Amino acid sequence: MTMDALRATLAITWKELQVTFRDRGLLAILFLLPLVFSTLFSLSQQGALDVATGATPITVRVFVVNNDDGDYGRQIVAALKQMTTLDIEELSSAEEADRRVGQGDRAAAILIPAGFSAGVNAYQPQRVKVVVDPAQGSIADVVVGLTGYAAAPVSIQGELLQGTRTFLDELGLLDDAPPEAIGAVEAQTVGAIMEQLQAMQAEPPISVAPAGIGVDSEPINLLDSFMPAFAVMFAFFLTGHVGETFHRERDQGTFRRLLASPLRHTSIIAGPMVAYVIIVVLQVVFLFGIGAGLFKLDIGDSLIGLLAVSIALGLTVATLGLLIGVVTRTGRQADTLGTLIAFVLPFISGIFPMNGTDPAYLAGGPIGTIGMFIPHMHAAEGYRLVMTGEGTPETVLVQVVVLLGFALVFFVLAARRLRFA
Amino acid sequence: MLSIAWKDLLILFKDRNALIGAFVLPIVFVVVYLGVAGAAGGGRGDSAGNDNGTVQTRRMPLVVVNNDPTGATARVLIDDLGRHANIAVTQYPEADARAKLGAKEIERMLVIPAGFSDSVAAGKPVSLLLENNSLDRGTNEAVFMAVAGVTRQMSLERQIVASLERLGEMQRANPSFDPATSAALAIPIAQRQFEASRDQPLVTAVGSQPASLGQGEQVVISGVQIGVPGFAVLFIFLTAQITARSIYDEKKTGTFRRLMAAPLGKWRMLIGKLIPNFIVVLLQVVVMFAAGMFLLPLIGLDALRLGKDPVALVLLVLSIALCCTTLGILIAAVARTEAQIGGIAALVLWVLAFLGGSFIPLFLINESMATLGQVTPHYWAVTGFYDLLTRGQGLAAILDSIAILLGFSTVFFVIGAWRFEFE
Repeated sequence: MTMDALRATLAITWKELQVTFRDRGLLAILFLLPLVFSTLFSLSQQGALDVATGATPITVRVFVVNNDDGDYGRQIVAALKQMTTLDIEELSSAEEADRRVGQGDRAAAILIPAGFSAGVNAYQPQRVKVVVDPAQGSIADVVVGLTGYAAAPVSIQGELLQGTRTFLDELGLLDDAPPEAIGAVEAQTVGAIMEQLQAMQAEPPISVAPAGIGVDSEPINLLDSFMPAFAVMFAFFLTGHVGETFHRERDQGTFRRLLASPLRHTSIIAGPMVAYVIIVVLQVVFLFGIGAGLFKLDIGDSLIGLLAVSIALGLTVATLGLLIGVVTRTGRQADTLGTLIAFVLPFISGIFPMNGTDPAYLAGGPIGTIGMFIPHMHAAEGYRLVMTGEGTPETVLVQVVVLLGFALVFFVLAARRLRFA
Repeated sequence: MLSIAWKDLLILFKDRNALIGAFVLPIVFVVVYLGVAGAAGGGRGDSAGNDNGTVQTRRMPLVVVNNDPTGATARVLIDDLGRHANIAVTQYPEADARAKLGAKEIERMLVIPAGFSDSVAAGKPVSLLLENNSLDRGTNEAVFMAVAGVTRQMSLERQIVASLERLGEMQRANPSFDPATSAALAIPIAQRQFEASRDQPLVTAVGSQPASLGQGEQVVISGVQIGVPGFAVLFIFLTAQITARSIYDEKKTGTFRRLMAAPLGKWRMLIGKLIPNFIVVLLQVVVMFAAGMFLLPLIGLDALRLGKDPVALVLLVLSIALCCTTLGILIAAVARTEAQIGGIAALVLWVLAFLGGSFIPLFLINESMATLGQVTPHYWAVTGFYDLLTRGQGLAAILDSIAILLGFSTVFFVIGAWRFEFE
C-alpha cells in the first residue's frame, strides 16, 4: 500500500516536472535570468577589485586644465597622471571643461588657475577647483581627495619656502647683502627644501599603511557573493507558478478527477511539492555548476550541506507557493502575488551585498533584524556558511531547520484553507 | 482605432493584476530598493550644492582607534582629519572597532599606535594602520589619500626645522651667520608656520558644480536622482510585454481575425493596439515620479526633483513611451509563443535594462560593459533623465537622446510591422 502511494506520488511528480519543463518562459526566468544577472553584476563590478583580481580597473574620467605657467601646476598635473584611478585628458579651456562636465562627458574637471605657482611662491592661499558632474556626484569626494593629495607636496613646498624666508629675514643675513649673495642664498634655500622633500618622500615621518580588501586579501570573486543571492531570489519566482498551477488544476477539474481515483490526498499534494523541490535543487545545481565550472565560483567542500540547504529552500518555496495558491482567488492573482514576493523579499532580507562582499544582513541593524524573519536570509546564510567554509554542520543545520520551520508554517496555513474543488 | 484603444484600456484597468504589475510593483521596488540602500548607507543624497555653487562633498566616515589618548599630536591628527580632510571621525576602542569592522558595521578604521606623539616629537618614523573592508575602491583610495595628506601636513613642523637646519649648515661659511641664533629661531618659526598652515592651508582642493549649469538653482546630488529615473526606465520598457501579450491574446482567441472582417484597416487596428501601452507608460512615469517626490521623503530619503524644463521632460517621456510601445510590436511580431513573450522577452528586457544603466549607473561599472550599454534604448532614456533631472539642463541637452529614441522607435516599428502576421 505504501509502495503504491509512493508510486502514485512519484507519477504526479513526474507529470508536474514534464509540465514545468515544457514552459520555456518559466525556465528562462528560473534558470537563465539568475545566471545572466549574477554574471553581469559580478563582471560589472570586478574593476573595483583590480588589485586583487587583475581585472580592468574602474577609472574616473576627468579633464585637467592647467592655466598656470609655473612649475607647481605642472607638478600637480604630473602627480594626477600617476594615479591609476584617474583617466586624464588635458584641455586648454576651463570653460570648455566646465561645459563638457555639465553635459556628462567626464565625471569631473580639475582646474589649476592662472598664476597658481606665483601665488604659492608669494605665500598666498590657492584653490584648485574640482568641477563635478552632478549626475556622477558619488565620486565627487574621491576626485577632490585625490586632487588634494596631488597638491599636498606643492603646499608643503610653499610652506617650506616661506619658512626659510622668515628664517633668513629674522636672522638678518641678507639685510645688506649684494644681489649675487642674495641669489646664492636663494639657490641654497631651494636646494635645502628639495633635499628635505626628497628625504620626506623616501622615508615619511608619518606613514599610512593600508590593509584590507584589495590590499592584502586573497583575490576576490564577486560571483561568490552574487550567485547565492540570485539563486535564492529566483528560486522564489517559482512560488507564483506553483500558486497559478494550483488554480489551473482546480479550475480545469484535475483535482476533482484525481479525488475520484484511488489516490490519497497526501499523494495529490505531495506529488507536485516533490516536483517543485526537485526544480529548486536543479536550479541551484545548474547555477552553482555553471558558476563553478566557468567562473571559478567557490562552492565549498560540503555538497551534502549545499543539498540540505537546497532541499529545505525547495520545500519552503513549494509550500509558500501552495499558500499563495490557496489565499488567492485566481491564477493571475497568485502569479502577481508570487512576483511581488519574489521581487521585494530579497531586498528587505538583505541577501545582496551592499558595497562589500558580504550580504547586507550581516551588518545587522534594521536589515539584519528584518532578515531574521524572512526565509531568503536563512537560505542565503546557509549557502554562505557552506560555501565560505565558515559554517560547521551545526550552524548550517540551524539554517536548514529554520527553513523547514518556515515550510511547516506555510504548509499548515495552506492546509487550513485548502479546498480541492 | 480609438474604440480598440478604449476597449484595451478598459480591459487593462479592470485587470487588477496588470495594474499591480504596471504601477504598484515599480513603486514597491523603488521604495524597497532605495530604502534598503539608504539603510545600508548608500541611498541618501551624496552631496549637495550650497548658495555659492560650491559642492559640499559627503564627509567620508572613518572610525579612529586612538591608542595614544594622552598624546597631543594624536589629538591634532584627529582634529585635522575632520577639519581639513573632509572626514567624519568616530572614535572607538580598538576591540570594539575590530568587532564592528569584522561584522561589516563599519567600512574603514584608522589605528593610531601607542606612543605615536612621542615618536613624532623624537623624529622617529611612525606608521598608522588604515584597514578597510569595502569594495568601494575609489573611496578607499580617497580616504587613504586624505589621511596621508593630513599626516604629510602634520610633519610640516618637523620638515621646516630640518630645512632650516640644513640651510644653517649651508650658511656656516658665511661670516655674519650665528649658529646659536639660527638654532634658537628655527623651532619657533616652524611652530608658527605649522599653526598658520593648520588654520589656512596654502593649497586646497574645492569641489564645485559646473558653472555652465547655472547657479540659480542648487543641484542636489542624490541617490534618489539616480535611482528613480533608472528604475522608471526599467519598468517602462517592461510594459512592452503588455502590448505583446495583448496582441498575442487577440491572435490566440481569434479576435484579430474577426476584426479583420470589419471595415477597419490593418494599420489602424495595430495603432489602436498601441495607444493603450503609450498611455500606460505616461501614467507609469507620473505615478513613479510622484512616488519619488512624495513617498520617498516619508522614509527619510531625498525627494525627487524634476529639473527646470517641464516641456523637455514631457517630450522625453513621450519619446520613451513611443520607443517602448514600438518595442512591444516588435516582440509581438517575432515571438511565436506565450513563453517567448513572458519569459524570454523578460530576460532580454532585464538584461537590456542592466546594460543600459537602469540598475547601476554606467559610470560605476567597467568601461567595456558601459560602452556596450550605449546600444540600448534604456541608456538614452536614462541619460535623458539624468540631463534633465540631475544636471538641471534643458531641451537642447536631450535632443540627442530624443533623436536616438525616435530612431529606435522607427527601427522597432519597421521591423515589427514587416514581420507582423495578423492571422
